[in-house]
Amino acid sequence: MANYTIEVRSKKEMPDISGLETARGIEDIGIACLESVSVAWLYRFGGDVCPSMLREIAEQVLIDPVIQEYEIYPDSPCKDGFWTVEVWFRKGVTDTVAATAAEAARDMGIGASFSVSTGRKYYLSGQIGAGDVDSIARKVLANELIHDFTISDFTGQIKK
Amino acid sequence: MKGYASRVKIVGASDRELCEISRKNLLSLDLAEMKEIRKYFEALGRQPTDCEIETIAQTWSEHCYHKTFKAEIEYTEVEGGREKKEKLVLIREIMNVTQRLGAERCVSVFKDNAGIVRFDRDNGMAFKVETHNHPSALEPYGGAGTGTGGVIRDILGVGRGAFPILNTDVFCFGMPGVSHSELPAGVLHPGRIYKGVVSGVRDYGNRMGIPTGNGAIIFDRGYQNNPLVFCGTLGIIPLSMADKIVCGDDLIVVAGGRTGRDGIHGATFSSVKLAKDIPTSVVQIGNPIVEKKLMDVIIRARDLNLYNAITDCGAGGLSSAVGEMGEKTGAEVRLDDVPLKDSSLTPWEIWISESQERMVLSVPSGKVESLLALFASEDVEAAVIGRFRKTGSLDLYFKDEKVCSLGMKFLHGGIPRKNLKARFEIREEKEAPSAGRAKADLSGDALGLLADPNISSKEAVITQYDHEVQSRTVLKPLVGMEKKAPSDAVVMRPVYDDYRGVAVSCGINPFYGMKDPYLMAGCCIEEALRNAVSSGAVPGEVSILDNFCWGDVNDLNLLGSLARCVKGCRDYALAYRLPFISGKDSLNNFFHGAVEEKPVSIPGTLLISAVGIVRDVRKICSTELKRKGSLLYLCGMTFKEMGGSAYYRLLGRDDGRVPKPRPGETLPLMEELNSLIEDRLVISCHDCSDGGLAAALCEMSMSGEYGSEVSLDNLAEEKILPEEILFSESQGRFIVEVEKNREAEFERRMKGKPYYFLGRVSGEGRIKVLFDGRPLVDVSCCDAEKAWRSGLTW
Repeated sequence: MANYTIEVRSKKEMPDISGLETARGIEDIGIACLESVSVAWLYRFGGDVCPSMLREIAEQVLIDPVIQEYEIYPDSPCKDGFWTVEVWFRKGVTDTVAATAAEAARDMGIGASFSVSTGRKYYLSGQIGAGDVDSIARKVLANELIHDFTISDFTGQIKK
Repeated sequence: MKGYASRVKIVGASDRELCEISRKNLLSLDLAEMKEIRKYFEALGRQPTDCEIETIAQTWSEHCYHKTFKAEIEYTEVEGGREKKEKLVLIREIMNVTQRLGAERCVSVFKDNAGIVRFDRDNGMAFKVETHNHPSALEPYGGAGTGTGGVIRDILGVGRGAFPILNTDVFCFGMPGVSHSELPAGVLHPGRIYKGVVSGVRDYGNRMGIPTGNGAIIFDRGYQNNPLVFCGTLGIIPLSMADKIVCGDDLIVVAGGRTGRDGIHGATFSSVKLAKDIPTSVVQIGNPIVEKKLMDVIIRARDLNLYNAITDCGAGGLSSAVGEMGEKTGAEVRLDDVPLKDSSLTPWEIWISESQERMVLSVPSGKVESLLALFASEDVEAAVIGRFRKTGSLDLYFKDEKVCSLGMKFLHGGIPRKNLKARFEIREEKEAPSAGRAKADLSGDALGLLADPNISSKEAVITQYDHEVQSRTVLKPLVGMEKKAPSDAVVMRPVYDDYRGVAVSCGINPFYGMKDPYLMAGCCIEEALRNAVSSGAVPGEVSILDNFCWGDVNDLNLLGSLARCVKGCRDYALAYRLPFISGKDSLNNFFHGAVEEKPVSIPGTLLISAVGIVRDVRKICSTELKRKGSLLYLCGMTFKEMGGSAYYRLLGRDDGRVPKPRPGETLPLMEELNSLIEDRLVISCHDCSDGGLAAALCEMSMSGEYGSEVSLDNLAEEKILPEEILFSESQGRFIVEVEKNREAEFERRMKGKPYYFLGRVSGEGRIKVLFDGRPLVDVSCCDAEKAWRSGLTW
């Protein structure tokens, strides 16, 4: 039994439309000092899964190989110079994308017993402090009624 | 008793304890209702189960039962110090309009999930508009998406099922510029709500393959804590399928999505104030792909005649759906047979969960195998969960334990009718005298109006929606060579091999309602009709729907303003000969946070949606100017009616009289206009509404970039200033374009009706308005367009 996360994001040479849209939302709350915002989609698999099986799922179901790339890891890595905010559905909230991902994986013939949940990870860089990131998370990235979120600085230290 | 259901101690409870039980369990039942429940169970000699209490709370909720609209209201109207009292039952006032008009086109009204009007010999049009306000305030994307999904299911569940062909959307938001620090705790910023709501409607409608083609957006600070989200769907249904009958021994089948712990207490929650600390479970999350598959398979099953009746699982979930279908028979349900997302659900949670994308069908036992096989072949989950029984009782079981046994008669007829009091004081509004010098240059004011978010282009929203899918959309939301001008209505061609069509439009103006809800009702009704007629609908073939969204109706004066609005609906719908075919109310839209001394209610808001027959979609009319040199006329009379107008709001003025609809003059004008459009004497037509003649002229002129040059001299009167002619929002007016060699014919046909020559389509790319030989407005089409597109750039 293991937990792995597949992180799907735009390739570097491709425009990150969600990132641009998120950046605009952040500017709207008066935080204009961000240098970059990028968004990744997270699929957390628990249960009877292994990295090779997840590579197959990622490549066949989760990514568009022309514009996206992916990474599989057991623990969320940090990135030098970036604040990260991970946003996940709260327990009990219906996660329709996860249900579809699980169904698609089973349609591929993967018979293992596993669970899926989905989230988003936001990479923020610029002259901002923990207070700004907390404000961004609450006012733009997450709706606390249905989401939980965690904030980490570039050292990986979790702030919330 | 094996213990799957728990007992609620109601028999023997004091009045205070009854109130506490209602509050603690989010039942939204008042003391009189709780006492009635206590009396019922006292007679049975036992305590109710949690499942029984929850079933009653859902069925008796304001959302499902419309208690205020069915209440006996002692209404007092005060005018000039004189009081007039009358008794009103609001729902009766509305329904009587349809009855009195006796329109032959009304096929099924006020008795099903949507209203149905005759479209042609074989088909009807089903139309419904719902609200999803509280869920959208809390989770805009999910709330608005499931609002759309819900109203689509209403159409799927009307009669034996209509096929959705159009979605509509109308939103009311707080002002976009408000700072975050001004917002109470727990309230999302209007900008965030706007983006989330638009995305939710877009994703659900687009993924379902249904075009979204008509709507409106209103911005006012009154909606900051409590936005309004109206979602509508129009469907086509064979007239032979317009009725449904639940038979006594039919099986109950639930189909579509699985049941989970989402949307618990949605129906009762919609009747309580918004505040901090709302539980996660009231939020519904939609899955349009599941609903798309469900929609397609239902239409196939309908055409194969595999079921007798169908309804959707909306507010109250299975409790409302099965409870309503079995009202005249009785029903027996095995809750452990309901397919679940989460096996830990208790029986009452399964019963009232508002998980999305579910429909309930009444299926003869001889056809159930074929139906289940058809659903399985389309990968749609369906399960038999019970049977309708001629017992007059609702009996629910969970693993052989009876968890609910309620008499249908009590469940649907036991609610005590409310007796309420309401009061409204009519303010005497006067227009300030028009003495003094008129403004010399109104170009800046005209551009300012175009940039007002309430008037400015909604392109940023409209273009996110698919309005082409299904290939039935003839007149689209944006028209003209470069798709810049806003349409007055959307025109659809429901049957592919027939040119007969329908126009769908709406009317909404809460700013009038802040001054007089009665006139607001008249103006909304007329605006919806005007929009349909200016696009080509036949005035005598239009039907309407009402949606009332009001604040705290426990407040005597707010209930009074609602009653006055209903009176306006009644009087003007009769005067314009427009039957109501369906309606919905959403009350108690107010916010009471930690720091607010009193509840903050929304402005009383009425949305009127209209559906009208277009005889031939090849003879409709759009708003953009078509030919250089053709003539422009104003049809209808202009009065000094500036109260609640966009121009006075721009100037920060709160005075003035609200426009008064004049059906006696306007209806004959509309009938003539319809015939002029069909005969192609009128080649462009746009009604004057928000921003008056000025806004309408700019919207028509800038779309083709021809521009226009008009004079107000023919409209001049002593007691009215040029800016008042330009910006008054008098009702019953249209700007029309007539080809230059046909003016004599136009004027001959218009004889006896109010019309005024304005000027010409200039071809110079400027919008010029002259008065007494001097230019009042002189702006380039380019600058007008820039201003018009600047309002929604956040």
